Amino acid sequence: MWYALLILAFLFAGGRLAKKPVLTIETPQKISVSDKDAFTLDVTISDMGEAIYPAASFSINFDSSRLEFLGVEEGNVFIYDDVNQAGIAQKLPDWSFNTKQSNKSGQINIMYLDLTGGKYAFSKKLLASEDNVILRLSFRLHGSARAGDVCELSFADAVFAASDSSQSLAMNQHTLATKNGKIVVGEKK
Amino acid sequence: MATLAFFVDHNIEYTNTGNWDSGFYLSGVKGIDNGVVDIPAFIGENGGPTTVENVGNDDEYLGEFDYGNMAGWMITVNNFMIDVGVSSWGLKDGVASGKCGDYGNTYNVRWQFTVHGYGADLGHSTGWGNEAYFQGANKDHLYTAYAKSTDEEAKAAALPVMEKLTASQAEVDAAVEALAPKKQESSEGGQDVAAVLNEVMANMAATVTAPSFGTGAGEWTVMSLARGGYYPLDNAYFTDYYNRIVPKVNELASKVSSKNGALHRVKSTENSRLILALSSIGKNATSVGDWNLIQPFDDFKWLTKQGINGPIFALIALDTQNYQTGDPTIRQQCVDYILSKQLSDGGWALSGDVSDPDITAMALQALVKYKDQPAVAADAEEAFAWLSSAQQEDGGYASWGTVNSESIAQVITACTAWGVDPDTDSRFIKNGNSAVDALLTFYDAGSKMFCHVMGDGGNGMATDQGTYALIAYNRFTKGQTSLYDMTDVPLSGGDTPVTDEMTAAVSLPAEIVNTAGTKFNATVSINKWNNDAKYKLIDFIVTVPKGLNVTSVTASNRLAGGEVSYNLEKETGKLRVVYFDSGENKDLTVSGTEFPAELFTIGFETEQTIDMKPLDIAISGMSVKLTSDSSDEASMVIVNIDNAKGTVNVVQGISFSAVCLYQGDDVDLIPTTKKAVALAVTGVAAQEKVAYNDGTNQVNFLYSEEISNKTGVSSYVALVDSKIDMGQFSKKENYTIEGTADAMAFGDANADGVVNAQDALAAVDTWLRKSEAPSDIQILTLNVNGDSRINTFNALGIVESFVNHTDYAVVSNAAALSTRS
Repeated sequence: MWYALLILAFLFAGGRLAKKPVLTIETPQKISVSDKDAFTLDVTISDMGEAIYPAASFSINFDSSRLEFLGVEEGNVFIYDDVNQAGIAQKLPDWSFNTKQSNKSGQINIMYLDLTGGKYAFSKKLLASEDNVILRLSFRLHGSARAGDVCELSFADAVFAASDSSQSLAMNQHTLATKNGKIVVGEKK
Repeated sequence: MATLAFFVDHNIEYTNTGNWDSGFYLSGVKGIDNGVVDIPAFIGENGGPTTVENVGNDDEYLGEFDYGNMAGWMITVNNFMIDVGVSSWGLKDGVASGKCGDYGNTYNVRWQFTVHGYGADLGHSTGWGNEAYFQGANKDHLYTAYAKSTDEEAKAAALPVMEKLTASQAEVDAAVEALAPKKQESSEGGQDVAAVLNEVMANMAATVTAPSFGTGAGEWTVMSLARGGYYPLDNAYFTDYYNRIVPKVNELASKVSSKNGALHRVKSTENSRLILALSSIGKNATSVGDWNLIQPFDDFKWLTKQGINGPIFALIALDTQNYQTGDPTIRQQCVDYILSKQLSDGGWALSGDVSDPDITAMALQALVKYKDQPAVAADAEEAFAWLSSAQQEDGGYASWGTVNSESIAQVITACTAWGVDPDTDSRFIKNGNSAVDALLTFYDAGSKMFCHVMGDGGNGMATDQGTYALIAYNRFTKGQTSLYDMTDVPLSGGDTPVTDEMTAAVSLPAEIVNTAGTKFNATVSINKWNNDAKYKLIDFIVTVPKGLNVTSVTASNRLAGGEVSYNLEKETGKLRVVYFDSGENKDLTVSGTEFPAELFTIGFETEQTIDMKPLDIAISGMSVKLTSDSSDEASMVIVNIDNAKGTVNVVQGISFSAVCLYQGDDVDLIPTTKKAVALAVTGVAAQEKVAYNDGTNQVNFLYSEEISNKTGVSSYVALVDSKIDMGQFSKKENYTIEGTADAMAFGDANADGVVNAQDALAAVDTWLRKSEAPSDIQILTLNVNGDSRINTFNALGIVESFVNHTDYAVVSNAAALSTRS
């Protein structure tokens, strides 16, 4: 029993196992095969950590034969902006992405970079709501999609980069967990 | 009261009538005359005493009626000889009435002894009806400078001028200049501002990546980076700016009712500002899009709707490239208008009657081309004198009550235009601080910007003006034309359609081995592309030497909208390639901003062992089309293929060929002592270790999969001593090949096998010096655009490559540089 208590003590002491942030592509309701409208998938983070992150990037694989990537829509995470008289100001990050190349390659590469190295950085303090939505991915079904298709959206890489890389949240450093999403194509409405 | 204090402090005895509060008259001062004086001859010629007839001084006081009946103590206030007792003269009133000179809040009171003419012998016309016997120089500033100076040698040289009654103003001014505090660090060729200038321009270029029409992030940025020489004028930064400007000009000019090229109904400075930028990059302002931006300057009323700013910037803009106006009198109207607005103290103001350093300096900038006109020369002299007097003790200036950097910037720009050194000219040095010194104190090294007011962390407008002022100064010290004299920039003929300039190039490896099955690649790139043109098809023909087969033709990730089809006609050696969307006829687009842009990669393979003869590969025809209608000539752009060719040397076994990718320039993190070398090695397996040793230098080359894939030949890179002759890298005897080489990937700054935001941030942090100086391998990985510096361009290059799935410029450069044409 002593080792069980030791593990519990570690978890309660704030060990990384207990607090590792998770980046998730939220799986939406089934999309009807007849629905040709755009829909979005939320990308959320469970806990951003205490550092500030002047850069972030995500690489997400998807089935471009069934889905058309339309772009990135704003979420509820902000970045610092110029300080005004009222105190800290904030604004939405300007994500870089390329829809054409994403649809061509089947991989969406999204990046934000603060060229000042911190003045316009992400911070946990700037998460505007409890839903923790970083951004929203907008898609539309191709005509080739069929009822019953399951389109996986999987992270190839993800990082919230801090200048001190030991504080970064990085998938390839195992400091950021990821949960893939999927789109299930349903019958006609 | 100052006189009284002087007498008391120096224990001087005097006699007087009246008292210090009312009716004071200084009748004598004790102990300063022994009765033997040398009286100038002209005094005797005007009825006064002569040395020979010297009536002398019969007491120990020098005072009234000594040497003559019109002798006594006289007072000048700011070089005006007052005609009342000193206690009856109001200092401010004297300035306000215009009788006394205006020295700001300073008053210069001098007591002088006249022997004849109540001061006429001192060079002053007096209130008692005596005309000056000669035109006396104003020595006020000489006495002040003498009193302040600690330079004993200069003071000794100035003393004879002070004592010379008839000294000319030029002699006095020269003595004042000699007494002025000297700058400590003045060096030959002027103060070195290159480090600040390079840093601020790099930051400007990094933060304003796509300048467009406007005051901020627009014309001033473009002009600074052009006049500062940060980019060559054919750089995409400028050509892309111009391509953004053309539709904007068409849009704005078409909205203004005059329809004459004016970009704004009342603001002529919109045209002027744009003309400055266009002239600086060699674009002719008489033909931009559908409009002639010079034409509206014929309307003088339009020029003056903004007040004095309009004519000032009209002259500056017109004179950048000596543009001709339809109305030949316009320039003179502007000159006359500006001169008419000069205030009595020599300065100018945007409005009101209080001179302002910014407007005064801008007026001087505008007038410099007309300095041969006597009125301009005279007014300019007064203006420079006023600017000198307005300069503060720290070398800076205040405008509208605020000490700020922009005012200093304008003064520096004006001085350099007129050939006045703002760092060494005594008129612009106060207390040892020059105008250039003062401007540099406003530079914020953290933000790499200039502050508007000290300590504000950096301000866009202040940075624009501070930067171009330093450029103006730098050009001045190098003997180049002034900031706004852009006649050194050749003008191209106005609005040239982008498509007319399309040029193709082919990149090939320098060498391949002659054995059967050898594979290599050719890449086809293009110098420009306009996504708005909505091209639908690209086709081209490549001449392929016998013995080669074509294994693949692929479109690059930057090109989108179509699919590749190709066929090699063996009999003729013609490879025909077409790229379009056969289904939906989509528009073809090229992503990214870096050009040349690679469009296609052609894979070749030797069918059998081939002769050791060079292989010539060339594009023999290329076009880009809007439609498939061949009768519509306007719908097709013929691409220039003059340089779309190259030669591959065929060698036997292992061979080495090397190119220099870049050499550092000491500006941003890459020292001049290092250069990056790309090495192609034939006849080795991928990633075999290649070690260089010429007896002096040892280098382990790093394997580059990206360049190898690009060229089809095993390729390596290394950062080496820049002194090593490139020819050494082609000598077999300098190499050993054994084992497995370490690999590197461009962009992967932390070498974790993935290029992502962490790497882009590393480029930013490295440039900001938040991290250690980069190692050789970090320089190689971070410098993805292959220039001589690690800066935010590399960070943006990583972002661009990441989101667009494109190759880095340095990889394309490596392939292109290896081509022998």
